[in-house]
Amino acid sequence: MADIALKQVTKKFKKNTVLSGVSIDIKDKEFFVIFGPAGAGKTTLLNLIAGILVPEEGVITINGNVINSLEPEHRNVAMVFENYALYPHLTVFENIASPLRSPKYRQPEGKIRDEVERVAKILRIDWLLQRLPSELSNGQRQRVSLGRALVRNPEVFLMDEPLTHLDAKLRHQMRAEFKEMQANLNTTTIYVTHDYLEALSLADRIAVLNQGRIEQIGTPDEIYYRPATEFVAEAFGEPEINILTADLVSKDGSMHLNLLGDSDHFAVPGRVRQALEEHGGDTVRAGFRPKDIKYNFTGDSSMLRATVYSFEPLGAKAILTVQADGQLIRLIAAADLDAKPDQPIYLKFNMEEAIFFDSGTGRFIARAGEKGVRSVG
Amino acid sequence: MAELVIRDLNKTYMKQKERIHAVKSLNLTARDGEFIAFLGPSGCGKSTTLRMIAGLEDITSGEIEIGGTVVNHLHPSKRNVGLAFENYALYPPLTVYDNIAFNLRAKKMPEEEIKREVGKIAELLHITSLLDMKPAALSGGQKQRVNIARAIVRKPGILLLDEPLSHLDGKMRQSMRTELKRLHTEIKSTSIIVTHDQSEAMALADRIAIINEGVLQQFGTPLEVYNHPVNEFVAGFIGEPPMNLFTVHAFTAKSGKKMFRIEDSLLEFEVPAAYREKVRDSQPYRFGIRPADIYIVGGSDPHTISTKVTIFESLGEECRVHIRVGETLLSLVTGEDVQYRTGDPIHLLFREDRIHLFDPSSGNRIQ
Repeated sequence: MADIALKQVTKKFKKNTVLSGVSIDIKDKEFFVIFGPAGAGKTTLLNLIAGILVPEEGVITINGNVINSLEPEHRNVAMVFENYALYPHLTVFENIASPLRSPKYRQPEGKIRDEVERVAKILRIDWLLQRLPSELSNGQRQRVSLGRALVRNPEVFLMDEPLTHLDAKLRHQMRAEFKEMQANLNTTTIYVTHDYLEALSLADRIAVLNQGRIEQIGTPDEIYYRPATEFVAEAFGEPEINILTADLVSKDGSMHLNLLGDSDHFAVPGRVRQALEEHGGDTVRAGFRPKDIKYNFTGDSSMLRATVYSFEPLGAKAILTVQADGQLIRLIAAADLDAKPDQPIYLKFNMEEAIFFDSGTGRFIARAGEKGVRSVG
Repeated sequence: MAELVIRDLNKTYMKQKERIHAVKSLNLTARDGEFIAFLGPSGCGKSTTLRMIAGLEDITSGEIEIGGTVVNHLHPSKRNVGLAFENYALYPPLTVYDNIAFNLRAKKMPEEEIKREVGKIAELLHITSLLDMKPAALSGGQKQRVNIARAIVRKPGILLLDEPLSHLDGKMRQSMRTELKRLHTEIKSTSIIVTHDQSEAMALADRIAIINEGVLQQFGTPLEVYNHPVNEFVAGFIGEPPMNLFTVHAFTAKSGKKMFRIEDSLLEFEVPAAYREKVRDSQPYRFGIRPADIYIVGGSDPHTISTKVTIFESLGEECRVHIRVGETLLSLVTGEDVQYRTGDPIHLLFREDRIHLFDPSSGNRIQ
């Protein structure tokens, strides 16, 4: 049982402010992901919760008790690091059992065996208990490392980029394996990553950190479909979202975007129009995910003319970059498309999926579609 | 611009009293203007090959021909190649302009002509505004642009790129990759890129040479190596998410149908028509299917397998479904609007023309 809260937490290293005014409420048994680029302050945040660092300002609580200056060993948290750091000369069993043999957590042998077997079963490594780490695959090693943290029965798991150093192929499989295990953990978990796929896949909720500040806290759907800022929109999704500056113009009684030198093809959906009018201003930033722009080579009056800039096949699909009005736009295309450089191509932007941001602050204004709207209750 | 021909190229050297055969009888031709990728895991011999082309490494045996001239014994500067390496190695005290101009000055080109050439290249690589800056003031992506500008300003017959994107962070790597691809369509110089990143090779190259343990595995277009991998190594190396690879056993069911059973599981499906005459009962085979080539269908029949969802991932652009099969997961990619939960029953159909079968001992494709 552990609810964790940070209230207005600020951390400085000398004159350098690494975290400023960070407030997060993490619910019991939640899988909470802290996402951000290198240097955003993710690991610092984790270390504050672990007790390795002490904040200059603000309050950190577990179950309502302030723990700001509680020693790490008195917080019932278990840290899982990026590198597994298993004892190479000990069997899997002994590696998992090692925390239970330390003076602080010492347990009778029978109890140790029961605990190790219980944990090994959850992690599906019960058939590997007599092996040495060198005889294991990367994935199995990682499970052993998790097992060692799990066996202590901590209230909170802290995980610092546990999948980062795996190569891309292994990461895909390990992420799924991890998600499978996670269903059985049933323990509040705080997971740090810079990989947006991990964040979307694993999290109940995500906090997006940028330069020591929270950009947004939300469910994966909220983050992906209703990003609070352009920074968040650009950090989630590959290829990256296209965010373009547009003027708002009135045409035949409806609102249009004057975008890419064209105002015929961008009628603003009614619901968004209202939000944009309430927000005010003559310009706006409009974001289109690559998959929300359709294309063909014949074109019709409903489509915008562009030219092919480059074509990058990736196997099952391809990234097609086109140029319109001097700007580059990324689309997703079929891998066997025959796209020649500078060839004319016609685009149709799905305005229902467009995400609108304030042209000055980059903050979210509106999105027509229902996706990512928090359901009540 | 020039054709590159590699004939029976070998490289051996001694390392801790052991003879290493780093490149084994490599034969390959890059046509004039072609963009070729050398792709493989680290230590496969791809960089060694590039260095032999550049003249930075001795050739043990075989021939390298550039533009019709055997260059085996030519000094690097006489080989008509331009080099851009992973680490940028720009001259720190010189401005971007002087860095790019350096080799032209060495060739005693008149300053006016240099100015014109540097200006042209800078525009091509979008670094015109950086020309007066020193390397220390540049971002990684900018340094790499300058690095490439310096390599191509000499108008080399062959442009050699050694992992030019691997130092850049994710986003920068992506946009630089797009720019590199565009650049090639503009300068049309024969180019060789060395990379360990299969998506980079796929995105950039006209043809990919996949190398493992010093041996060329396959040389083909991105679609060829993706759709028709010649062996299990290529099949597993190309594609993201990676191809599902399982051991299957063939048997004849009571109904008389030829079936495959996936090892360590109860999952069975009919052997695709193309392979029915080729597989023998109770023999093991390596079976491959890409995550994008598995369909979720409404009901079961002998071609489908019926199972349960182990893990469902919603990843924004796409969703992935994973099914536990023994110690591994069978993964598939679906459109975004279908949501599944763990334990949901599901019927899968492997796209028959997209099934790959490999010999379990040699790893070679069974045609």
